[in-house]
Amino acid sequence: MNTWMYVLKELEHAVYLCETNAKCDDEECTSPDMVHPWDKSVAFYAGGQIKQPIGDGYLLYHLAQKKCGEFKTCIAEGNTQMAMANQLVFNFFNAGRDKLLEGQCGEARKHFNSIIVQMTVPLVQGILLHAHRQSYQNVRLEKDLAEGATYAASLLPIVHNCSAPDATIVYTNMRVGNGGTADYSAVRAALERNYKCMGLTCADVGGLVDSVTGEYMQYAAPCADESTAQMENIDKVNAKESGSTSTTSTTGGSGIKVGPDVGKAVGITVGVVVGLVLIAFIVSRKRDMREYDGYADSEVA
Amino acid sequence: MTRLRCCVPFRAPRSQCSFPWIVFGLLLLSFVIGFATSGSVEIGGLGMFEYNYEVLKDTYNERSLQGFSTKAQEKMYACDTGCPYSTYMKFYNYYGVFDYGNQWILAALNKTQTSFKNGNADFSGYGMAGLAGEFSTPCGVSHYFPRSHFRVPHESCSLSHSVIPRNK
Repeated sequence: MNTWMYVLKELEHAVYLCETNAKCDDEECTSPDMVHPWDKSVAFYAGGQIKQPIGDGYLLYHLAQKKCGEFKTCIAEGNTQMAMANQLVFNFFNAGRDKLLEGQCGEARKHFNSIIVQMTVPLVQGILLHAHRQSYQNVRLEKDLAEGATYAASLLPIVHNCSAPDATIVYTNMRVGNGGTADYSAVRAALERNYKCMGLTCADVGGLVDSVTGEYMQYAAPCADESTAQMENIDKVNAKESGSTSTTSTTGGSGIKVGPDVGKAVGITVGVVVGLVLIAFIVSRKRDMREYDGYADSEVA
Repeated sequence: MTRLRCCVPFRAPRSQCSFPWIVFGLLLLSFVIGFATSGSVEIGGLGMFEYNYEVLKDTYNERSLQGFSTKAQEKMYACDTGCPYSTYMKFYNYYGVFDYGNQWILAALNKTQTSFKNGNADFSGYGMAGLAGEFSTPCGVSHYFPRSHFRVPHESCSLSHSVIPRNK
């Protein structure tokens, strides 16, 4: 809650310095430019304990990494998995830094706003996770209830800014002391009604996955919106490009294309399987023909 | 003199390895876990960095994560540089207090109730397990992760490199 806000404070401070052509007045500044607070923000976001693959960590980067595994919103990054939210946040960190240095303050502010959106993703995921546990998984341990309440506390002001009644629904279900009675459907609906206002898409949030089966849990598949339709369209294009009808690659809600190699691999696999089936069919037909010929010969004899 | 070899454990997002703060974090980590107070650190892709650090002299406890919240009014509401900040105002408008994060944690520690405008929390019924859950989530982690992890190397190390790689 505190670090989350402080990350944004530093970013907004940097944008302000850019917009007013001011010098960094922070006592910590080592050089008088607006990139310094932007850098600090990155540090507070990432921390010094980042490890790949998803490993130890304490701050917001780690939180997003952890949640992406639970909501199928990780994307391949080399040999590791990275939360789509983290990927986007760092894209925006870099792009924003460049815009600040170029003096394009309006563009830097756009990147700042985009970072806010992606930083809400793990909070939404945390609320959904704990609401689902209470509603459908009978998980009502005090520790889990407290975690759910804290995720809610970290997001409620933003939901409230969009819709006070929906914030009340989320609060009532997730508050400290709710006794584990959260109504997942109500919480999810209240949040989803405000995705657009918060700048989120269904693809950003993903769906809650059963860690054993890898399938979406009951009532927890991703919601559908333009982002998921966009995902399907891009998947189709990828499949077509790879000569396959499979749809296994995925994209982020912000339109970032990921996993084209997966499409190619599936295409090759499908091609090989089809080839094998054809060979088996031809061999089978030839054997049938030989048997028929033999049978016909014996009949004639 | 100690010579350390580190690689920046931050692969993917393109060129994030160049973020100096992560470099500083690594440097500090070496101090925290007990490496020598002077030496050099090789950081993948960035070169060698020599440092000097006196633990007793150069460690300041002047900051805390609690300060993120208790100084929020000063830093995000009433400052002269762009205040009030837009996102902070959403939180202030909702909770009705400036240090909502601090009050949240203190209420949890004391097993009492908050007195916010909205979104109150009553921790009186919580045991230690609930408090553990509270502190393992972002709110709690935010409070207890020492900010000095970032700051000390930034200000207190004497890096021999004349130019510290900046964020570019």
